[in-house]
Amino acid sequence: MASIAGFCPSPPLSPPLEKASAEPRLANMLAAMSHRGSTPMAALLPPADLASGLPTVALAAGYMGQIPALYVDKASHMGVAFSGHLHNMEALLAHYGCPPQTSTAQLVQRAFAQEGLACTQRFLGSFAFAVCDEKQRLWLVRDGVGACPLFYAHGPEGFAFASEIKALFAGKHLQPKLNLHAINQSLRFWGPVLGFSHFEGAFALLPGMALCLDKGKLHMHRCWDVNLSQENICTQLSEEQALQTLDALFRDTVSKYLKTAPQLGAFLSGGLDSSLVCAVAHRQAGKLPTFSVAFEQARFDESEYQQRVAKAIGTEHRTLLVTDEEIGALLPQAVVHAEHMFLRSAPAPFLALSRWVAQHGIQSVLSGEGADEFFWGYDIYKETVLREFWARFPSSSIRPKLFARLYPYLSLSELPVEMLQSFYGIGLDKPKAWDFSHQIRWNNSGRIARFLSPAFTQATAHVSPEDTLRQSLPPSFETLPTMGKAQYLEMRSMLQNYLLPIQGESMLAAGALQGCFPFMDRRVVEFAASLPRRLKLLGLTEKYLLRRYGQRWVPPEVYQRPKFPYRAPIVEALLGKAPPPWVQTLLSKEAMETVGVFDADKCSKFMAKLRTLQKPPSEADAMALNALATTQLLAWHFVLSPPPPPPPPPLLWL
Amino acid sequence: MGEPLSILTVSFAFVLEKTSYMDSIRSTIRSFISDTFFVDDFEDGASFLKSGTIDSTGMMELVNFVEQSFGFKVEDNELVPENLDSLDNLVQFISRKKS
Repeated sequence: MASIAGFCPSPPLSPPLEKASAEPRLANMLAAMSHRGSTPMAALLPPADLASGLPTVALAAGYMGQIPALYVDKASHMGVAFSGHLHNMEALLAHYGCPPQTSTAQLVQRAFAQEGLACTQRFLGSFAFAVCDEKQRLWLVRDGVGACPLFYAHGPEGFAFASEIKALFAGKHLQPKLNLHAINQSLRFWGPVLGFSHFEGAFALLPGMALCLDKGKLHMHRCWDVNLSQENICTQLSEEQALQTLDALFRDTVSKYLKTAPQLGAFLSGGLDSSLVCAVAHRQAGKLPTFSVAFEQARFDESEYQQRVAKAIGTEHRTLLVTDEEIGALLPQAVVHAEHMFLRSAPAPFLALSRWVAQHGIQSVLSGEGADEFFWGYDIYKETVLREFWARFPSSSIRPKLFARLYPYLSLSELPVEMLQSFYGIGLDKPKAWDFSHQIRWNNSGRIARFLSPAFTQATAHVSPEDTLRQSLPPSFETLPTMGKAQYLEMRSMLQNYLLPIQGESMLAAGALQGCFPFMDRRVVEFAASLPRRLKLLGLTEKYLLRRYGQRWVPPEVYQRPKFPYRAPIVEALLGKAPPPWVQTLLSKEAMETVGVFDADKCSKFMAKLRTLQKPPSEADAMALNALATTQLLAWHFVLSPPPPPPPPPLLWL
Repeated sequence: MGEPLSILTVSFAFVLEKTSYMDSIRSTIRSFISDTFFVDDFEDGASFLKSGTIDSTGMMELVNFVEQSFGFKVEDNELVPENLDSLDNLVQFISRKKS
């Protein structure tokens, strides 16, 4: 795992580049991300003594393991800063005629010099990189799924980019200020959309996109997108054919990771997806350390399944128990790493897990992330199918009853059908609407808005989060079938703006771990998109094909097991018997008034209610509390009281 | 001429009493909803579920509250939006049950 950073000033507002003036800014940027790697390197491009004018770009990167993540080609003055992992390095080295010891940054330089942006079509794995080409253009590129982050800021003084937003602040390219619209978006979609971040002026390069900075102007190019159109679906594909293709693809992907990823371990959640990854990897490697997290409370804990799978597969398994108290104590650090407010507390135990795994000498981890999105494991897909079925006969009193089967744990079975109609019948008259699949979820999370302060509501009222999200969708979106739209929205909102940046990447980065995601391999994602609907969702059986595939690899209780969402305690961790000290100060009325996002009076009453609750809190209440707490933490640690910057490391100049 | 007048007075008083009774139900329910679900602005006629004022688990809490505060049981066949899914509907339903 490397961090990359760089900037190009725009004269005359900021001084032209020289090593002496560039060094402190670059070093501070890398210091802010020091958890990701070591030994920072830097370069000015093109080199001052060789360029006709002055250098235009300052590039910096750390090492990935023993391999430098920055490469400068002396002949062409091209430079590449690379973060991520390409698991088909062997084939790429052969294709571009590079010797075996070539670093990934060097390979990318060679590939980009030969084919330009088109070279990314050959890259498999996750990546975010920056290239300064011979024409003095700066390119930023991110893989299609979005497992490696890249942020940028563009102002009158120049352009800057980094793997994390805090580096933009550390390099003085941006002043930290919360973006209220982005917070408003997160309260509906769980994360900011359209490339916004939670900070004003800091933007995320969207997955599958390339940005080109040419003579001070930004241009965006799309490199890859998943094709979810009806025409792309192989309707005639048989179950056996699909299983064969999946087996070949999946084993190939896992074996590539085994060959290329250093010090590989795996996360084992006890669910189908990570069990499959672990089983296939263990079979091929003969040995695999696996890790999981356990909780004190049975309603969150999956350790029984984890033990069973680990025993059945035969991995060398370790479990970390994370207590409610530890979750509360870790939440501030999780927010600082994520640079994001979040509706669930799961990133905190994940942070503990990542650091603990790193202590065992692990540098890369396999995970089952992505399977639920691409093979349709989430309830949102079933919900959409049910609502679509119901919309064809809206007055039916039988069809809405299926929702009680979909969410048995929500006590819906106690609700009479007329109530289900009121709740799930929203938008039923417009089954072709762009947001048909996600209306219920977004309305549910949007209920957090009742805790917002009047000032916040007023300041954000003129921009609709839905309109902003809609702007981020490509024109082809409108032509997709309902389930294609559902998957696209799930990928663009939940996966890429919430799960991956928070759980999939930044917590891993906190332990300097590189994530390896076989289910997000581009070929696997494309294969899943081509599957007929019946192989993903058969009746109400989710991830049908993966369950069938699971029969070969994991015990029946795992492949038959219904989806169990990974969640962690919130109310118990923040307002329980031993609340962390920060709760008292940052969730006080005064602190809430200072931040101004939430209504201090209402939230104080709300927390008082939660403190005296005799039964487990509702999901909606727990999410509202987490949103409130993490927003307060975000404001405190970035805007109101940022920590002193870590000492800048010496740079190794290329 | 005295008698009809007194009948008028009695029925007028009854209407007054009924209105104020319904008002008190309304304000009891409204403050329960504000205190429990932290929503201040909701219209008397708006669907709780559709407007997001109350979610599906909240409806159960609301029914519990109604049963305990007004001393009757809500039968399964009464758990319908016409009875419960707005402040207006709920007030009507409770006053029907109580009369």
